[in-house]
Amino acid sequence: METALGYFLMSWLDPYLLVLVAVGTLSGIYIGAIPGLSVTMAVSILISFTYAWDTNEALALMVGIYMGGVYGGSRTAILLNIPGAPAAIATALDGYPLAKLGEAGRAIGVTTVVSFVGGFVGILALALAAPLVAEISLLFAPRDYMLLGIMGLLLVASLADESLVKGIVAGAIGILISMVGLDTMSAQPRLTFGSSQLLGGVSYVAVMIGMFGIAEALVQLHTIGAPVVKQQVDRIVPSLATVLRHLPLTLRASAIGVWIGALPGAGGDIAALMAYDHAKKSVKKPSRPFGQGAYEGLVAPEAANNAAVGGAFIPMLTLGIPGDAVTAVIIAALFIHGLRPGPNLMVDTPHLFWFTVGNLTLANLFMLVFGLLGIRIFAKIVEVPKAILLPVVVVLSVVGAYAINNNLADVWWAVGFGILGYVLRIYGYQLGPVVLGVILGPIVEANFRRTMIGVRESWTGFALELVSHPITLLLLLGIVLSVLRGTPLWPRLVAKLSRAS
Amino acid sequence: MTAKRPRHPGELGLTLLLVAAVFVVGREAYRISGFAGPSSPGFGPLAMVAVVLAGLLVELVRLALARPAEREPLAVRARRFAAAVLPPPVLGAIALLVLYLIGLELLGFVIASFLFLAIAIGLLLHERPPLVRVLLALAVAAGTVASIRLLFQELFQVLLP
Repeated sequence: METALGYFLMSWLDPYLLVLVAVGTLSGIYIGAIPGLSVTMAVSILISFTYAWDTNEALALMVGIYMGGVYGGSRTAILLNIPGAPAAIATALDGYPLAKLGEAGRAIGVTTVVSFVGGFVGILALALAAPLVAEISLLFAPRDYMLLGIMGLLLVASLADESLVKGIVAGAIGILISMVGLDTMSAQPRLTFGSSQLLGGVSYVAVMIGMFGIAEALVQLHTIGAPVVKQQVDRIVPSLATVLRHLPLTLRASAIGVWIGALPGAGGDIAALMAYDHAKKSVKKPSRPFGQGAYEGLVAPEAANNAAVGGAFIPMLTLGIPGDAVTAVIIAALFIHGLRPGPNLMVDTPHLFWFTVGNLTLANLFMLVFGLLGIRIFAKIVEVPKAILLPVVVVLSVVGAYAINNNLADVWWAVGFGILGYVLRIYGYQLGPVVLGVILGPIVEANFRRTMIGVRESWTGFALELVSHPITLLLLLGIVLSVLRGTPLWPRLVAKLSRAS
Repeated sequence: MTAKRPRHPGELGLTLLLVAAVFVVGREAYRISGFAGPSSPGFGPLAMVAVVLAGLLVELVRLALARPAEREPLAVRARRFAAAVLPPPVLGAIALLVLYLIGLELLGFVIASFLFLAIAIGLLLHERPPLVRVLLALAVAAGTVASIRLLFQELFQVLLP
């Protein structure tokens, strides 16, 4: 217990780590607050700068960016009706009407406090549940990891945006990219087209920097001429009475956030939308009608999306399965630092778990402080014209891609993926599924092959494996339910079941 | 449901290009281990090629159903394509990006990045008066390159190109 506390307080007591968490949180809030600059972009570019660093330092920075970024996305959702991150989509529904009523400052203040409470609930859930989940997951066989990977890939459905088919194509392209190079099981070259340069595979990070950094900058050029919106904010610290009035809803929404965030394949965006829906159904007398500036419509999604951060770390650290695109990128970062997220992470490097919990708590505190104090400065920074911002993003992407192996070839890869990503984005293929495919493809493939070897390549044996073990069967049911939930059959099934009961 | 979405300019061309690329990748995937067992190294790549191909075929059907009733003249279609997919700022940025990478190899990070930033910012700030534009572009370019060098090379110890 004492050792765990020591690891938890590591960043609190080390001035350098403390500064890194603070800088990460501050940058996360700033990047999240700029429309077009996503948290995923920030983490992708920054990973490459942390190669030469100690793992603890890299983690301290990244955790700060993630926590700050999820919160920062709400700023533009409220002020400009442009969610800075997908997790802030639901925030715009009532946040922007509040800004139009002249209550932007108060809305941001309330958002900051409930995000802090939500973030804290998420971290508490992580600290309590992750050791338990890790213990159970030690019983997992390759087939279970394969199913968990497939569960993660189902996130494609929520990242696909305009077309599920395009989402699936994008995910499969990502998996194909991950297969380039020497096969880890047979050492046979795959998809290298005879090039020895491709034997080492395509760097994850080059793909991410290209797709989230360069492609995003190119997409943003379409709106380069749009005028910068001046932002006006007034008093922001909410009264205690306001906070207390919304506390029950905040806690309920946080619980939803933790639960959804912890499910592989569902992240902060879904959590926020579900919490918003819960608020609409459960709050009988909102401060204003929902959609017209109800504080309840702001409180629920913001508490939920920050609670989902802690929740998303549960499958990420214990099973190695990401909850959303950002956690997918963080998993890649852990790999780069020689760590294998999964049940063994808790066994081999238990200090890392408590260190991460400590960093998240610290980042949550910084978020509250920076959120309440720095709003006027942020309002100015966000007004920097895109004509200046975008070329700087490109240069940072180039520096980041070069830092992977100190090789210009990686920069060319990043730019190539950037242009490919731009074209795909323009035609409605979302890039989140590509990255998800790159990360989860190897997990699913390797474990599928191991299972197949175990049953001597018999499909009947494979099917029996899936239904004859309790944990596997539960996971399989989870997948079937997730797929069903996305089909038109689901509402009918729910209605039928509720009638029957 | 999918047929209701309109066709983006050039979408059919991109889908056909992707189909062609999938065939090339498919041939390479087949060369790994042919249609051997499911645990063979070539099974995964072939399976993913099949998934991409199936998805693209569904898209092709949708695009065929979403065909506009009247075919527009080529010049109009080319204009719509340029506006929606490759507007001048994007086309210029891609060209500048490629030149930047060549410049990195020839001139090194500091000079190439300074030139890239100054030109890109100068071009993108076209609404400002010429003098302000030039001064701002030079100042931001110099400041950014100096900050990156100081922050990343000196503080974070990241090697620059």
